[in-house]
Amino acid sequence: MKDLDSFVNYFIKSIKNHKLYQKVSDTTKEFIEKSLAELKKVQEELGPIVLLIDEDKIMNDSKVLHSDPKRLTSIPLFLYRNGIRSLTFLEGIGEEELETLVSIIANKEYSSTVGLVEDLWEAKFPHIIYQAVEKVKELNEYEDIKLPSEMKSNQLTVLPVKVKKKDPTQKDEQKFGVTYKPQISIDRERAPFLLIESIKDLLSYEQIHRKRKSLYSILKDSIPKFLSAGNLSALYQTKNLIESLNENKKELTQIQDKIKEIITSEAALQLYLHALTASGSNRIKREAVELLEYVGIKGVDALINELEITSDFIVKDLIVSLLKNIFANHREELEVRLLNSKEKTFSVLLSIIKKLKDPYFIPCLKELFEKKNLPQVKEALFSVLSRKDVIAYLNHPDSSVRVIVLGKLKAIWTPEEFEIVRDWILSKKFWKLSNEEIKALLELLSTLTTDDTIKIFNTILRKKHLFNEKVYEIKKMAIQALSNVKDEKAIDIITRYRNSRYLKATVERILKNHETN
Amino acid sequence: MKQTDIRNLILYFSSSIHIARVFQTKSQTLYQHAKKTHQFLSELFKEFNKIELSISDNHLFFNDERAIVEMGIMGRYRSLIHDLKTLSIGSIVFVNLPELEEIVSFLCTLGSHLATSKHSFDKISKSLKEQGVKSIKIARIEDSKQKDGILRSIRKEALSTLLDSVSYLKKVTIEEESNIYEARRIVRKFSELLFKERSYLIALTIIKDIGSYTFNHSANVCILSIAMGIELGISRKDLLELGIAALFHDLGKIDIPGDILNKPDTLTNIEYEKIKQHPYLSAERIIFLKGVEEVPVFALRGILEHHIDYSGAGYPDISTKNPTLFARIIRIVDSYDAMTTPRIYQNVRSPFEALKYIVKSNEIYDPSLVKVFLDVMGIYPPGSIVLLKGGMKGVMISDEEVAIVRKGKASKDTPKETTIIRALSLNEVDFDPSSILTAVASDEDSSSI
Repeated sequence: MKDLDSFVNYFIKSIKNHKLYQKVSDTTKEFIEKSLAELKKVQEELGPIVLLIDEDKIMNDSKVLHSDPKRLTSIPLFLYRNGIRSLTFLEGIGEEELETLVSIIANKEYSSTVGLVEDLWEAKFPHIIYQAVEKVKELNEYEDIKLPSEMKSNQLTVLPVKVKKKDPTQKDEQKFGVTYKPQISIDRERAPFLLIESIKDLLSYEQIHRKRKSLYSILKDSIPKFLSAGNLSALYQTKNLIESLNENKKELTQIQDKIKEIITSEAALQLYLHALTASGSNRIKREAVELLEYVGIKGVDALINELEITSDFIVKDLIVSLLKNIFANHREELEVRLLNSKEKTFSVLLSIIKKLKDPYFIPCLKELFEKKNLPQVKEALFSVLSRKDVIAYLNHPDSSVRVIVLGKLKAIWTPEEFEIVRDWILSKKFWKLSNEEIKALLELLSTLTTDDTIKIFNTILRKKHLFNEKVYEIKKMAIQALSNVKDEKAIDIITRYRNSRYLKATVERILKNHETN
Repeated sequence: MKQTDIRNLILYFSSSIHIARVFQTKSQTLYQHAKKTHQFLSELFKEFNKIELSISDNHLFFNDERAIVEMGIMGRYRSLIHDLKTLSIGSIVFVNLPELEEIVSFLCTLGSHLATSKHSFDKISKSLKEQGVKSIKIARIEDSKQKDGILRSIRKEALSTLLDSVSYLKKVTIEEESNIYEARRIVRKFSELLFKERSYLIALTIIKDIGSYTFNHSANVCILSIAMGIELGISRKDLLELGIAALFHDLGKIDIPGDILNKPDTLTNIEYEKIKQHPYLSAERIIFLKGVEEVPVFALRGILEHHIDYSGAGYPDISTKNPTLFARIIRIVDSYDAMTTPRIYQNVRSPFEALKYIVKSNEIYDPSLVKVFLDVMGIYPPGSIVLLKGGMKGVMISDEEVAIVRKGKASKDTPKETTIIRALSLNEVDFDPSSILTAVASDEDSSSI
């Protein structure tokens, strides 16, 4: 019987230890092992062991094995209040089974009066039998229910737990050979999605304000759980649901706002960013992008920060397009950030402005253009300006600006544009321009196939050179550009120069290409 | 233990005993079968330290787990139970892996005793000892009177729980203070009873007149759904949620006017629209019940979708057309109970006819679950009225137990012939099967075969 005392002692200790650390600690494990060892010893001698539970003590037959005065932390009192009247340990019980029992008891609150019996039932222990007191009606209590005619009014009973005492001569027959195994379960990971779907369905039907409010509240109370579980997809679906619902009543919009608040909280933002950068699933990445967009301007700093750190080009592209979408609705925010940002962020923000192509940013960019002679500012400005305004910059004194403008124009669209280009080429200053600008002008001219275009090229080619290297270079560029003009006259003119000492090589290459094509 | 292992053990063991009975000696054929049994046992011993085969209430249990067998091996299954009962053997325990010679001696002993008309448990036991069979132990079958007493007790408890559930449902619809704990307790009770005495509890679902239709129907659907869940092997946590879904699935109908629910003529569009709202109303009942700390989501979904067909058709018009497992289970069980209940707007079908309809309706019901439902119910589901060879009528109490009916009451007589000719519909008999079922749970003895 000493072993029995020890078993109960270690059993109680393991429960209390588990409660203290809220997990199966090493010490808890040690107590469980010791408890099991003692139990096995006593089972060898007595067979199945029945522990009777009273309000303040645990007994075997009439012997008190553990006593605890009526305190809130008393294990017997806790079991008794939960309706447990006895625990029977059959032979064959293993460590996992005993540990599960300890965990179930320890995980219940001392104040709880419901649920322990249910948890024990769900565990489906093969070697532990519990006897519990639960409300059972007698047949004559069903006054309001029509009984089937022949039923006798016998008092109904719950079957008592029957345990056979060990017969030492039949050792083997009394043992239980079942291995404790977890049971098959449905996929509980779907639970959050089914909840959201169900709330959505019920909201589509329910019109009573009070009930709608309760449904929203259920959703609201569930979101922190999704968040703490890192369930981004559930948050995504909640967001979609909230976005699809229009409420007029203030009370309901207030709950909606609270839901939005949680979905766009700092903790949520960190989860989305983590998913965006670390998730291997494209679907999760897509959902993270949409959620970050939903967070909006609150998440911009974190996004820019991430953009500066990451070396992943796909992530970079995602963030830039995300920022573009967010800033499209927050232009002032972008402007303020641009004017106050440092080099790296500055470039990022300029690239977003370039993508937005919003004239709102023209004054700001013009100002920056005047102050900072940076290529990305020029690029951004000419992306935002209208074509007419861009062409006006052809008169800018800075050659590099004019080259960018020529590049932006790509082709001549109107007679006015032709006249501007023509005037530049036929002017005296043309021959003094940088090669880069000359080439850009000639290429732009070549985009318009007219007799006038060919005439201009002809004029350039007929220019007397007097062994001037620069003139030769320009003529080469002109022949090259002229070959772009889709007209036989252009080819005729080029052919005239096939015997020219300086232009021969260029002309032959072009004619060869022409014939091949 | 996997059900396939159980299936194999039944096949090998049953056929070996059959061969031993035919040859009664250690023949070559017996050795071949014994080898297979040995080979299979050695596989099982890799997982278990002991294997126990026991009989309880006409069912075979393997290491305390009830064997669930499909129709294909039902013959072998019953033959094995019959043979062991004939020899008064209640359980066979393989305490460790027996030698091949031990298996052969054991089978030969059983076979030769089966072949004689005198069966003595003690003689078998003695013979096994003499032959040195140490790894296989047998235990005598429980005393039948004591067993009957236990069985009757369980049956009383089953009936009481059924009444309890109806009483609870009635309370839920009128009392604001009704809570979910009571529902959970009832579902647990039903589950326990189904583990112990499945057939009788299923047979009780033939009772259709306790309280109002909706309450009685809900309780019946709850019992049958849990039975399906057990058959499918789902965990107890899930079983609890399935039971809750089934118990509440139609409670929303309480909010629909009775003159629509009980209208004998075709419903107008407006009336039908009202009916179509009941899954929403039922789902809300479960949400707004006291004590619901965490919404039982799978139950909720099961309720909302229980009129969505396997093909995706049906009502209400909700976001998904792929009903969840619980919904697909309730879809079958709900239809079955509704079809077997006499209603003013429909002709009642016998359990046999209802099963036939369900099997044929592939679009409505999940075919794989229909198979499981058939396994649960059998060809003649408990509660069915059957015509026996010789002209007697009876009520199926379990897979093998038929209560003979004479003058509208369960009879004490034991008929010689129990072969079932066909199922009868309610119109063909002049008694109420529910009264027979309640009678077998009373102290007054009813004859059962």
